[in-house]
Amino acid sequence: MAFFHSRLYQAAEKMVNLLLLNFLWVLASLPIITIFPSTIAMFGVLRDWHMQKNEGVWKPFIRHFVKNFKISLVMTVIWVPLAYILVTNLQILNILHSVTSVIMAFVIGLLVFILIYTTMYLFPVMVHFDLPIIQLIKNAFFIASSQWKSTSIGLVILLMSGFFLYQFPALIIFATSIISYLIYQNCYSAFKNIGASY
Amino acid sequence: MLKKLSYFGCWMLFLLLFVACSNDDVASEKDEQDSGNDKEISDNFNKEGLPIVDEKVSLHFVSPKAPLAPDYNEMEIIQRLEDKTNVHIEWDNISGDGYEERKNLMFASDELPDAFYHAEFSDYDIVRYGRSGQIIPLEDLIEEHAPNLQKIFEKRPELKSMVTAPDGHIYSLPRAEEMGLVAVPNFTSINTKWLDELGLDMPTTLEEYGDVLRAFRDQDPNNTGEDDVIPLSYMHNFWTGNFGDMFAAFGVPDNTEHRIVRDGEVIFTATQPEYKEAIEYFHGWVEEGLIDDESFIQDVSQYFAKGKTDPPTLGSYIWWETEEIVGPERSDDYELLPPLEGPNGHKIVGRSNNSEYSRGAFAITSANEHPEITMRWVDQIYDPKMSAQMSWGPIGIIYEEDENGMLVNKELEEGVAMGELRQKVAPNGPTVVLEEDFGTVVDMEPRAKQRLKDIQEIYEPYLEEESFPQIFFSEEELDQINRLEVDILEFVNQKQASWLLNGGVEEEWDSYIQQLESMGLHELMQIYQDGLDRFNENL
Repeated sequence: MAFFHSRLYQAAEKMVNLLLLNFLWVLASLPIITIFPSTIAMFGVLRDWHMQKNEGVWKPFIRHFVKNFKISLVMTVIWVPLAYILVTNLQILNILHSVTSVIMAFVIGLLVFILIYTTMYLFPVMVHFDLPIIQLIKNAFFIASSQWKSTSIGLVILLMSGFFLYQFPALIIFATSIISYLIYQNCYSAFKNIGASY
Repeated sequence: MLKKLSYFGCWMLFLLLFVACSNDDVASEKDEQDSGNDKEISDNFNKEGLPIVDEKVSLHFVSPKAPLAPDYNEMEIIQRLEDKTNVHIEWDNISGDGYEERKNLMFASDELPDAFYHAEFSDYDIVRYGRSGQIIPLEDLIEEHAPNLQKIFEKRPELKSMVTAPDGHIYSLPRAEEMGLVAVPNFTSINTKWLDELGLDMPTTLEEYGDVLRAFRDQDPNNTGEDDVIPLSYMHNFWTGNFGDMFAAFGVPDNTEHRIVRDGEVIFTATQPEYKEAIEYFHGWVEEGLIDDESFIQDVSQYFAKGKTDPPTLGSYIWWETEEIVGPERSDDYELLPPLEGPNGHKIVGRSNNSEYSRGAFAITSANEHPEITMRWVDQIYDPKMSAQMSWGPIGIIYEEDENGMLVNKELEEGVAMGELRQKVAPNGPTVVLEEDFGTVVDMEPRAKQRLKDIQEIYEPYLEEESFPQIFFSEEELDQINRLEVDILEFVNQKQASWLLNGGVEEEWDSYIQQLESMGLHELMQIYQDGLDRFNENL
């Protein structure tokens, strides 16, 4: 009995759960088009843990996956072309060297930046607030822009994870859920702050 | 071509990001249109009588809901209200654990519904959003359009003064339930069937209670041959079922705010030596496995499930009452544990700071284009009979009317627990049921009658005299409180849990006290003391 209550056991349990969650995420992301639903389900499970609804990994993952499937596909349809267009634009502008293209590159770079930090909040906001899609994007953007502290911390987390994943791509097998957990925690503190800082 | 592409990219994003702004434009255009339509609206609106409007009007309300409750539009009582008033409410029901942040988000992004129902606004919310104009003053609307609420204010002037903010406006509507039940939120129930089985007496001291819990742990009272008994479970720092009254056995009762009043003095419980002694003692219980360590993390539904395992595994537990946890068929096996005598001879029951009155139950926002319709709608609920049904359940499901038109409880179907059924059929919200309404408009339900009796017989002889009243602080005071209290309470609660689970109170106590002082505990207590002194002077 005592062993199951020890810190060591709890920490180990958490690690195992994170690993399992990551595995599920990879599995559910394999059809590529389901990356968004799968990521949202992962954040949903992380939120359940955070809210101390301890009910394992499998069941809540599937529940969140099914529940948010439609809205996350819609998001994929909006997000992917947008990101694609912006990034290809940047690449093309990189080749050109006129004054307008430098300005354009700057503007588009800014938009990419906004897109990244809004996206960072998109998933936590989605699982925490349960909003219709327009509201979702709007609020993610709003929180991201008004909570600068959390946004900067989040960007640092993203940057560092990006670096590590680039260096050691194999990390993706078990690191995504941990990174997401950090990002969720960070966004949650921003949510808590909204009332206070306003 | 390339340029075209990049322009297109920009436009996509701009469109996406600025849908937001265009929404507001649409809203203001709508405003203009509506002011043109004013005459039409006033024709539609009936100042007296029902329905409130001749042609159906739709309003958008936000409300938190209980875990088991369906969407409010599916509730029968809400549907009846719609039939009566011809006002349709579009409910945005937010489950309890996300409500607080969602509400803040709505105010911060100025994305407001027409009204917040069962709003649970803190005093700080009320003062701040009142000042910013996001929730509107209601006193004129009440005077013109809320005869039921007016009547209540005449009967209970203190209720009106309670909802009046320091700036003299009423921004939120009250909720009141004068039953005499809230003073004691922590009833400890104990499995008497097991006591009999093991040949034990009902404990009267903390020491004896500990022995009983040990016996539950070791002697397999449920005859499963397994180590599956939970001797004692509770809800850490929850409004009901918390551990505060166990601490009372050491001389100072604790509560969720860690704030009690004795002889007009405000005392912060979590820095008292008695508190430290209690923590040390109960850490022993956690270590021995007498206290369920999930008490610190479980939510209500997990807690409820523990009482309903087959075979029974719960030895004793703390909650609002006995039946809700273990279910009706098992509740006969449990009895209330009377207040226990502590090691130093104290036998005390804490008086909670919970009040039967509250503010912030309903608020109308600046986005609302039909405040008068909204006020008339909500005033329907302040009819005592309607209030009772909103609070406890509608006629036909929970109640039936007797020959005098009084609401009396219907027989429930076998195996249905009242508390759970109620979550599904009663939306709660801005309701007022006064003491004189019990026994004339609504029969006090058996559960409440029983609880009142239990309080009077078991707890009242040992009940603390005073509690901290509902004081509406000024904005500066609230600012201070808000700034200080959140961190202090979080620190205290986290320390409390950590000491109970892992020990270490003896070594860390001095630095803990120092830390609290540097967090501004003294300042915080001074604000509360000043508030209380002011309140007592005005009595």
